[in-house]
Amino acid sequence: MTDPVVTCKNVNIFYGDKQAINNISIDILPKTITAFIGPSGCGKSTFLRSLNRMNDTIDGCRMEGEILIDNENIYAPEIDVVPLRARVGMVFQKPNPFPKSIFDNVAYGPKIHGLAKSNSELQTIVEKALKGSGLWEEVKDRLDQPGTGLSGGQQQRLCIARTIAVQPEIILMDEPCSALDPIATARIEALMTDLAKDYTIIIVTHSMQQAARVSQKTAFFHLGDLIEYGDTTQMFTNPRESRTQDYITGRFG
Amino acid sequence: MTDKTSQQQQTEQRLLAGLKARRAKERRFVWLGRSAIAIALLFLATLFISIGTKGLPGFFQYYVTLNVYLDSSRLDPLGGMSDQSFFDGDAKKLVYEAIYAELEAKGRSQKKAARQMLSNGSDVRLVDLVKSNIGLLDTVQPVKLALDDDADSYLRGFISKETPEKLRRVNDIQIEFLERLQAEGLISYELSDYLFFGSASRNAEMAGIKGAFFGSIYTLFVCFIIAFPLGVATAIYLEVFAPKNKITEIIEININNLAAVPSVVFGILGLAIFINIFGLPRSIPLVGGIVLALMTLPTIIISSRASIRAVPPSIKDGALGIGASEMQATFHHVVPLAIPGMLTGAIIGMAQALGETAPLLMIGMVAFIVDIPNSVTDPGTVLPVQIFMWADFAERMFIQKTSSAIIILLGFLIAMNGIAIFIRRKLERRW
Repeated sequence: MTDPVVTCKNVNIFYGDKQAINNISIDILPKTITAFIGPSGCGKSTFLRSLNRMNDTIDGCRMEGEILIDNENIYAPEIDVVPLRARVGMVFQKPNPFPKSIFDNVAYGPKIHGLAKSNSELQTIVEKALKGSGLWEEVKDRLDQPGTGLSGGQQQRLCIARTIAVQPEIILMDEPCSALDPIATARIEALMTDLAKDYTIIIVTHSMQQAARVSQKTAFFHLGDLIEYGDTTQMFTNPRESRTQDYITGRFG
Repeated sequence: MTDKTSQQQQTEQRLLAGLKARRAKERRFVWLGRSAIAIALLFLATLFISIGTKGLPGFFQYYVTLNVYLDSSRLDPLGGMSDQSFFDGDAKKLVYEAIYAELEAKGRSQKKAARQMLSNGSDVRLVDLVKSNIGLLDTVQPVKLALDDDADSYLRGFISKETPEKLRRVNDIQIEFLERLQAEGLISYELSDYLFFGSASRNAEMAGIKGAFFGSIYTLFVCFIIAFPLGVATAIYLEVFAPKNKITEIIEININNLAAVPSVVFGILGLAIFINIFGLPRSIPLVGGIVLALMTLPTIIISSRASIRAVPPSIKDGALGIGASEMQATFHHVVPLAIPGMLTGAIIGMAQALGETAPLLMIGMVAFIVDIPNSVTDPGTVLPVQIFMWADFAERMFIQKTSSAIIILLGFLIAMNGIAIFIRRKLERRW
């Protein structure tokens, strides 16, 4: 058994007075794909966003408990969110490339973190990231064109390239395919399997099939509670909880 | 026939019965909107026609061409073309002698009538001519001189011959002289150089907007330099960094209220603080600019905040998600997208500032200043104040001058907005 890369202990998250996450403890394994599933409003996105402290940007959002990444409490007062978010990258539901060129989109992260010492090094990083996201062949001749001019699926892969350009350990994906057609979705799913060799991926998804296809581990959330967490194959074939069974067979949710 | 249930038939009947009224309501609303626009356009057209018909003639004035002997011993008695020498000289007399000769004026009353037809600034014009070309000294030259505003008004037909002589500002001798000059083709109606290059003057025919124009430029320059960076910085801080608590809320409410404060109050504030406490001089564009900046700030802050809020949060999230700091995410991604909106706010604010009179009256920018300001610390006035002052004068010719100045002010405004819109287009980006 490998050591977990993320350990959450008794996490409670509140929006104002309303509790969104109830006392969740979960361990995420390195270099695997973990899927968070559950009906809308169950708190899975909120929980995902707490892993790189994106919830800090929401007013009135408060967190209790401990989240350890590499045995370091990311909510400790001395932790700076900037290196944390460089280590724990995020891909969002709607593709959100910057209104800049494709090259600048990918180069932005390495630039602000000072990862490239020279221009040629920066180009190497950008090329590697675009190859890593499977976009290189499609855009190598038009790196100076705006990223917003790409198709939806390409934009989402550009966002993935942007994230991996800063070499994170963990990539959080918040319903990355919900705005994409099935073909683009298939490409992203193949890409995720590929990326899981180097990165720990946590994905929130509404699609049961997607969770079954790409993830090794699945966690089922309902009304802010973590109902069940286990191997994906076991969850989809032989869930321990009746509520999990009901949800994945489509009887509620 | 399709089989409809009675329920369906009833529903359909009711729907159709109501439909006519619904459509009629829609048509009425469209017509209401159209008539509102038509009325607005009518007012606008009236405004433009009224300003245009009064103001365009104001761009022109009547000149008389006289043969003047440029006697060096009388123009430049000390020699050396110094200002003092010209001051001691007797340019005025030379001009008068030229018109007496032209009109063969004899006797006191005729001579008085003749010289009163000329603008008071005629001697200055003569001196300027000689200064620009020394070679003209001691020769007889045709010199174009402005007519006095009363003579000008007569030629425009504003003063009627039917009015009894005692009641009109042009007497019978002058009318006869003017008719003679016109018959000889010596009077010309031309673009007024005094309007564009002249400064404040009590003599209507010599009054110009150059001083006020530069005053406006300096004042607005100071206003923009202070209000834009300060307003944008405030907006960014309040929108992005400020903690959401009671104090921020109070500040926000106060900024919004500030936008509704009558402008004259800012003038009193400027008078009390900048002039009385800080001891800055009166009437200078620097103080005017600061006061207008205070007035413009709320407009810029409010519109800048709105344009920051209009940037999709997903862009900022994307930057934060790869580890940009709050400030990097804001300045690299949010502000560039918000800049066009901020500029729109600045345009509105500056347009307000350009047309503002009341606060500038309070800080003394209404003073009668003949010199054209060369810097922000030279006393001056601004276009709307100049218009205000001219509108106050009794001379007939000032009516046209006022309208002309309004046209120039509107032109200034359009030019300023045009530049700002051009910059905004350049900066606009799609996302």
